[in-house]
Amino acid sequence: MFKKIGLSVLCAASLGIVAQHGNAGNTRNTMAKQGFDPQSVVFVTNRDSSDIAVIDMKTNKVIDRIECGTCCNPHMTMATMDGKRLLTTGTQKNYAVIVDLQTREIKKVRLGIAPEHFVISDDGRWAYVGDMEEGAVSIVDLVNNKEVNRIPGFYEPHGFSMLPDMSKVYVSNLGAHEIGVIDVKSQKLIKTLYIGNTHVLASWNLDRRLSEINGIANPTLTLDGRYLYAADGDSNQVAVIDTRTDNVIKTIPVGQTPWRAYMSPDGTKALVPNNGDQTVSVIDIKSNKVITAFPGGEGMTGVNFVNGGKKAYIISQPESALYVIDLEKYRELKRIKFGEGLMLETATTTPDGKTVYLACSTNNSVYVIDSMTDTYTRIPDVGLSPWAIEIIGGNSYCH
Amino acid sequence: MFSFRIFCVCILVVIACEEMSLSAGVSQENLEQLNDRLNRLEKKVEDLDECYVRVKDIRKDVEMIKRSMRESAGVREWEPLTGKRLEGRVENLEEAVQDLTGRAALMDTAEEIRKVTEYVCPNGHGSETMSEDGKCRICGLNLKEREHFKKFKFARRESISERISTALEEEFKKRILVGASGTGIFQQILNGGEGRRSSAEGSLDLLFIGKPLTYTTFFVDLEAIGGNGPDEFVGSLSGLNDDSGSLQDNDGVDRVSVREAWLQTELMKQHVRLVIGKIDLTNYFDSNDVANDETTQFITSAFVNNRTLEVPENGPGIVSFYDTKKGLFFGLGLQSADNSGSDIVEGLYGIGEVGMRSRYLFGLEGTCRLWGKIDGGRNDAAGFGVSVDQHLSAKLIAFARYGMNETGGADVKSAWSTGLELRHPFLSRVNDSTAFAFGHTESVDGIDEQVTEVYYKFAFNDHFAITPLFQAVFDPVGLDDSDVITLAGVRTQIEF
Repeated sequence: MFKKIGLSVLCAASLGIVAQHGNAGNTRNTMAKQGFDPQSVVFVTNRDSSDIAVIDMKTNKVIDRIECGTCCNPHMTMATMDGKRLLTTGTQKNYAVIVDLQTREIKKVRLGIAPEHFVISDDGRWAYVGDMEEGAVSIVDLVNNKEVNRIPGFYEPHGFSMLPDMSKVYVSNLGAHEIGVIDVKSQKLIKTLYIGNTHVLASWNLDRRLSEINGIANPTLTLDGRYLYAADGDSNQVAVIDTRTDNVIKTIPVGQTPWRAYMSPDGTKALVPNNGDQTVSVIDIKSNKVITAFPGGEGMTGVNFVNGGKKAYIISQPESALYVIDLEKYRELKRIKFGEGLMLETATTTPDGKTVYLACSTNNSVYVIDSMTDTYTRIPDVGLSPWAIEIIGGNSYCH
Repeated sequence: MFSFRIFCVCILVVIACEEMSLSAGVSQENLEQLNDRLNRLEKKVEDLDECYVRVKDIRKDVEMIKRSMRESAGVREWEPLTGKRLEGRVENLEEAVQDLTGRAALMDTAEEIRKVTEYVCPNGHGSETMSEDGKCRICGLNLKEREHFKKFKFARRESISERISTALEEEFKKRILVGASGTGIFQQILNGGEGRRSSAEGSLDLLFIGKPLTYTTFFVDLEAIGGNGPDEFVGSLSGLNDDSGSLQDNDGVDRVSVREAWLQTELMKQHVRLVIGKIDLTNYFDSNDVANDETTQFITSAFVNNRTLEVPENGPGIVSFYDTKKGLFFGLGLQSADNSGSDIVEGLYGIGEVGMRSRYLFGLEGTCRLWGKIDGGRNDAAGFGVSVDQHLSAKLIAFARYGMNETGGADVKSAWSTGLELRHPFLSRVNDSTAFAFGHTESVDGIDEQVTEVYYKFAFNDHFAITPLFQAVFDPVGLDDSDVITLAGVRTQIEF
């Protein structure tokens, strides 16, 4: 009798352990799938290792890697605002990689030739991706993981901005002096806006116009989406476009070979790095005038505003340096030199504006800069050729 | 089946044995009964045989059914696995094909910037075709024809070998660069004691630049000049045309001279620059961002270099510069007093310079240079000077110079100059510039002279510029009876 009772107890205990073990396995599996909170990490696109490194912002350590496919050469990464999905473009393999951050399911969506930059709608449903070599814009359904339309008629579609009401997408052409306007509802290119005065400049030097083209890198929206600023590299001008009418309402002369406009956090001014004469023009958004210009560096690839817009970091790629600019007095406070021959790529500012993460492709590192002290720490071995960098809700951009 | 046969045989054997045992004492009746039983048994065996045949057939059927069932069951097990594998392989193949297609498309792409005609309204809306009514279909404003430039991508129209050979040819062309620069200056004296005389001057420079090594440059400048400029009539201390100085023989035949021929190398991570050969020291010392080139900036000699510098004609020399790359730089130059090449250390001209590039003034770029010289060809006359240029904004640059000489051996005792340059003053004129300068020169004899110049350079493109200019000399040393000489001129500059 006692034997039977003992045996029953033993069996019941064993069953309990087995069940518990099964539950524990499930929990671990879920953890493995989620792994991190998308809102508290930095996503770094590594072009040559074809993966996305995930850096924990608390520890500043690489905690995960998301494979994007062999030799796909990912270019830009962006997450949806809800943190459910991550999108990157495999430029070499002509596809977009959609990562479900909850299940870690990875889907590849075939696009046109050489997809690079894109914008994601605020609802996280659609992505507009520029197929650089094909001269087309692919519209990707991020929920159903498929390309729903491909719109031709672009010339190196490089930069994207979507209006806050998600009605229109503005696409800048680096291979032409024009902005394309896509109507979201009809998914059609409805307008082409011509920027700059290259037609005038061409009369003086036609050979130069035919030998190289520096078009528009990015259409930059004001915070309310009412106006759009488009810098044309060849004509040394920034056009102001009224997004209600899509009229070019003003053309502002800036320095030589402007790259693009970067909007300050309070939306009152835009900084335009001019790589031709190595200056930075400051445009007052209210008056649409250049209120000042200050010296910059060579090959400026990005501007990050910190401390609520009181200070800006300007990346100088060939100088391997970051110019620290006081935006109240418009003067250089400091120049942070990271080394010799280091190619600094893009940076992102945390939503609180206190920290900047800067990717350096040559030494496979990301630098973390404290905006209060202008000191930095280095995160090594992030991946091969870190390029684009993304924080959900942060001030991210690509080049 | 074999066991069944044995069983039947055994039954027959048992029956036979039974009959044999009974045959001894049985009657006729018994025999008939036995015969009946035997017949019945035979019939049973026959029945059993028939059954066996039937069973055999049934077994065949069962085997068939079993086999078919097994086969069908097997297919059901086999199908999903193979299907998945096939599906995976097809997907892989599709991906590989798309990859190859994409790569082939990239490899075959050729870029070409083309000029296209498009129609744009004042609001910037454009279209490739002109509307019937000539109005913009978006805002209704009038469309204007404009030329635009767009980068098109085409499928490759040349083979890889053709591309390689073209690239090689282009690279080969880069080894020796040949440039030409032609300057023509016309100057008209507007007033003064010598009357309204005019002068024309022209110079041609043929430049050869080679790079035998990565950090080594070989440079030759062949020059021909015709015309002596207005100083033939005016005789100013300031020099009214720095480009002049005819190289014609007395019989009027033009000569071509080797103006410069030197080899430059950069050492120590490009911190050190060493130049040796026939050199022009003014290219390296007392330089200035605004006033240092008579072919593109001011033509008055007093605004090209400090008049107290008094460098000898171009000749054998050596220049060394050390640039800290942090703003500070040092230079040292030695040059023979003449270009004969004989006894080159006799009467050496030596000059040293310390310079500083900075952003002290509101973060704007500026450079200050301080030089000192000793002229062996002029009784070791020493002198010093300073040359400053400073950006006042992104477009506006100021300059200033000052120099002083020991009076023994020198012609000029002191000189100063200052001015402003405004670059790309108008929106559509990005390469234009305009500038103004004023200078004062005092000779060792105590004679003062002031000069001013203003110009506007129309740069039509990178190769061609026309510069109208105006000069005024106050109290020119060459004229006794004229207080002010004014000149108007125009310079044309062609450069390839």
